[in-house]
Amino acid sequence: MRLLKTFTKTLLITLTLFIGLQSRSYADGGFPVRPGRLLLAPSVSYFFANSAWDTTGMPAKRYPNNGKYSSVGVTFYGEYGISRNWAAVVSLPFVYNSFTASNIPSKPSSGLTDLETGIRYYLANIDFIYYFSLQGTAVTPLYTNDRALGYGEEGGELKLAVSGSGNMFGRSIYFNASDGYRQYFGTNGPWQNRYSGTFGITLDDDFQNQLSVTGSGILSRSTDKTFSPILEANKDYSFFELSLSYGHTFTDEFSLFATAGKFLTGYNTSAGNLFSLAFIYRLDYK
Amino acid sequence: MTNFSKKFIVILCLVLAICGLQRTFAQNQPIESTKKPPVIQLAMSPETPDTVFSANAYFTVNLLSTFTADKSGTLSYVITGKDGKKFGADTKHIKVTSVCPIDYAFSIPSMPGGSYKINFTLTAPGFQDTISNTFIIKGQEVRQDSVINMTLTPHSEDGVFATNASYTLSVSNTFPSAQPATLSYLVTTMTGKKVKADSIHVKIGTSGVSNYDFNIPAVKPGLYKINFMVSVPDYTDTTRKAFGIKPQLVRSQHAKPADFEAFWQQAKAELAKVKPEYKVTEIANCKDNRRVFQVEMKSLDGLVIRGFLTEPKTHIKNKKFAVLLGLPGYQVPLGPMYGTDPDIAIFTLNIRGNGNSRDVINVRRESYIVLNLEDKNRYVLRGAIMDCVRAVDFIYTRPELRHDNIIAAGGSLGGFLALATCGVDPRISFCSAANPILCDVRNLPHEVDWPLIDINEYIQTRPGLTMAKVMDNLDYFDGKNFASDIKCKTLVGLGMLDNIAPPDHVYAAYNELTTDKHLIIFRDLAHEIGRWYNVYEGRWMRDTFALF
Repeated sequence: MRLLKTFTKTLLITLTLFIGLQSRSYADGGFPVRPGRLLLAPSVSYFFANSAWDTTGMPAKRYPNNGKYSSVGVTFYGEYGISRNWAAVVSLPFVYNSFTASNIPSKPSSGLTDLETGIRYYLANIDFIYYFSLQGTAVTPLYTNDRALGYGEEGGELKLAVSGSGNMFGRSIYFNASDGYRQYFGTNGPWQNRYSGTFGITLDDDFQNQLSVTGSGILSRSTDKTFSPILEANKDYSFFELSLSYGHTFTDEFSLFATAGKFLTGYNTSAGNLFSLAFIYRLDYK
Repeated sequence: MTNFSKKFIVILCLVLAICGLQRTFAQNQPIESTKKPPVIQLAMSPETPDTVFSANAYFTVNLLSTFTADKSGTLSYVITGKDGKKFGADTKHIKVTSVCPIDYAFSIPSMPGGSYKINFTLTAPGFQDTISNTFIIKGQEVRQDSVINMTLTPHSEDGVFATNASYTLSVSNTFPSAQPATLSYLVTTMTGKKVKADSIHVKIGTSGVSNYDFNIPAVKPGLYKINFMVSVPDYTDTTRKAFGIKPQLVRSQHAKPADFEAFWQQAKAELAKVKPEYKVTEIANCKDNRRVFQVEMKSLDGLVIRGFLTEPKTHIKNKKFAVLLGLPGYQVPLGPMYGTDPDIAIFTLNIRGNGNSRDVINVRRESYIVLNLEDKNRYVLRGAIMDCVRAVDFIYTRPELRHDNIIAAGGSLGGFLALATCGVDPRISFCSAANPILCDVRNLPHEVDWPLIDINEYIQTRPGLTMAKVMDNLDYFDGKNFASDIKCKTLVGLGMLDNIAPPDHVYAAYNELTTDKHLIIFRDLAHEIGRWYNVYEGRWMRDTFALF
C-alpha cells in the first residue's frame, strides 16, 4: 500500500534529531550559556614586540638600543549560566611584563591586573541561528601605583555581541562579533572601543577539530598622549590584531585552543606578536 | 616370505591404518562435536538477487564476529559481468568486535546498464569468507520521444501569496521543429471546484527555453490547487501545484463539540484508574553510547503497551535529560531510537495495535483507523491518545528525565498524536507535528482518498452506521479541536501538495493554536517534510529547553 510507505517515510524523516550549536568558540560570544554550566578557561599567553607605532601610525619603528618588550600572561576566565537568560562572567589576569634595552637595566613588573566581573543577558535570536547578547562588565584594579600593570582605575563596559552557526563548504561554521564601549573613571581615564570578530569552521564531522580566524582591536582615547613601550600603560592608542586559532576537543568537557596573532596596524602602541594556549573545561551542574 | 608372514603384514597394515584413521578422526572430532569454531558472519543488504539500481548500486555488508578478540582485516568486493569480465573492485579495512555487529557501506561507482555479480570477501587473520549477490543496473533511460519540457516556478518560496498568485512557466522543445502550443492553467478549490482558468497560444522554438509569466487573478483567502498544462498537437503534459492566499485567515466551518474537553477529562480519569505496572528492562546496545530500555506499561482498558527509552551514557552525577517522546506514523512499528545527542533521552512509543504493542489489538493495517469507529468511547484512537498520556506518566516516574522538558513529536498519524496529546496533557512543553492527519475531519470527504476509503468500507459493514454518525464521533478526534487546547510551543509542518493531510486542513488546525507557534511550509512536497523542518525543530527545542 503506497500510503503506508509514505507514512513510514514521513515518520523516519520526522523522528530525526539534529544536534545544533556544537561548533563554537569557547567564550565571549553572543551565544547564551546553558543554565548550570560552568565554563573554566585558564590560559597562558606570550606577547613580544621589538617595534612600535608612534603617534603618526605606520610604519612601525624598532625600539632603539635593541629594545624589546615581552609580557607573559596567565588569565583565569570563567562563565556560569545562572538561568536561561543570565550568565555570570569573570576574568582574572596575571602578567609579567618587562622591557629590555642595551642602554637601560631591565625592570620587570608582575602582578594581578584588572579583575573583570560581568553579567551577560541573552537578548534575542533570529530563527535560532543568530543570537544576541548584552554584557555589562565592571573593571577593578587589583594593584596600586604600578602603571606597568594598568591604569589603576575602575571602569565599566557595555558590550553587544552577536553569534551564529550554520554550514558552509560542507562543514559546520560559526561566527562571533562583538563591540564594547569601556570607560575608565579616573583622571584622564580613557574611553575605549573594543571590537572583535571571529569566523570558525570545523575540520571534521565529529566537531573535534576546528580552525578560527579572529580580527580584534582596541581604539583608546585619552587626553594623556604619553607613549610607553609597556602596552598596559598607554591611554591614547589603537591597534588591530589578526589571529588564527586551532581548537581540539578531547572530550565533551575538555578542549584546547592554540592561538597565534599579530598586530597589523596601530598607533602609539607596540607592534607585536602573540601566542596563547587556552584550556577549556565545561562542567554541567544541572 | 611365508603366507603367515604375508597375512601378518597385511593385518598389521590394516591395524595401523585403522589406528591412524582413528587418530586423525580423534584429532578433528572433539572440536566438531563440542564447539563450533569462531566465525565472522557476513550478511549483505540488499540480499534479494537482481535488485535493480538506476545507475549506482549500494550495498551494506553486516559483520558479526563470534571471535572473543577484536579482529582487523579487509573487506573487498569484485564486480563481474555475465561473461566474467571484471567491472570494478574496492577494498576497505575493517575491524570487528565480538558481540556487536557492524555495517560497512559500499557505494558502487556508476556502471553501464546490465546484469552483474558482486562478491564480497572478508579476510582476517585465520579467517576468510565470501558472500555474493547479483544486481542489475538499469542505466540512464534515453527517451526517444519528442517532448515539451516544462518547469513551473511559483513567485513565492512557500507558495503563499498576499493577493495574487503568480508563476513563471518555462518550456523547451525537443521536437525537430517549432511547435504551436497552448499553455493554460486551471485553479480549483481543494475539493476540485473550478475557480479560474486561462490559456495562451504560443509557438515553442527548437532551441533554448521560453519563459511565460502568469499572474492569477485575485481569489478569496484560502488554499487552492493549480494545474498548468502544455498542449501541442500530439502531446499534453500537466504540472500540479497548490497555493495559498492569506491562509492565516482559514478557519474551519465546523465547531468543536461542547463537551470535547469533558470527553477527554473522562478518558484521562479512566486512565488514572489503570495501574501502570511499569516494567523497564535494559537491553544490549551495540550501536552507540546510549543505554537502551524496553518499557512496558498498562494503559486504558488494561491494554499492555510498549516502547523504548534510550538515554545517553554519562558520568555526570545526577544528570537529567530532556525527553523526546517519539510518536508513530500509521502502523509504523517503532524501535529504539539512537543518536549521539548527549542531552536528549528518546522515548519511542508503540501505541496499542502498533509495533510490539499488539497483544490485544492486532488488526489489518486498513482496519486500524476504523476500529470501533461507531462508538467514540471505544474508538481505537481514544485508547491510542491515552497511551501517549501514559507515556508521559512514565516519563514523570523517571528521576533522570526532565519533567519540564518534554517534546512530543511525530509525522502523519504521529503528528496528529502529538497535537492530541499536547491538547489533553499540559505536562508536555513542546509540540512538533509534521503533516498531521485527521484535521478538520468534516472536510475530509471529496478532498482525500484515505482514510475515507476505509471509512466508507467500514460503514457498509456496520448496519445503521452512517457517515454523519462517523463524523459526529470523529469530532472528538479532530486535530483542530485539540489545537485550541494546546498551551505549549508548537511547530507544524505541511506539504502544499499533501493529499493525506491537505494544507487547508493543517491550516485549519494551525490557526486554532493560540500559543507560541511556527509553521513551515514545503511548497513542492506532498505527505512529507524537508530537512529544514528537523533543523528548525532541533534549534527551537534546544532554545526552549535552554540546551545552549
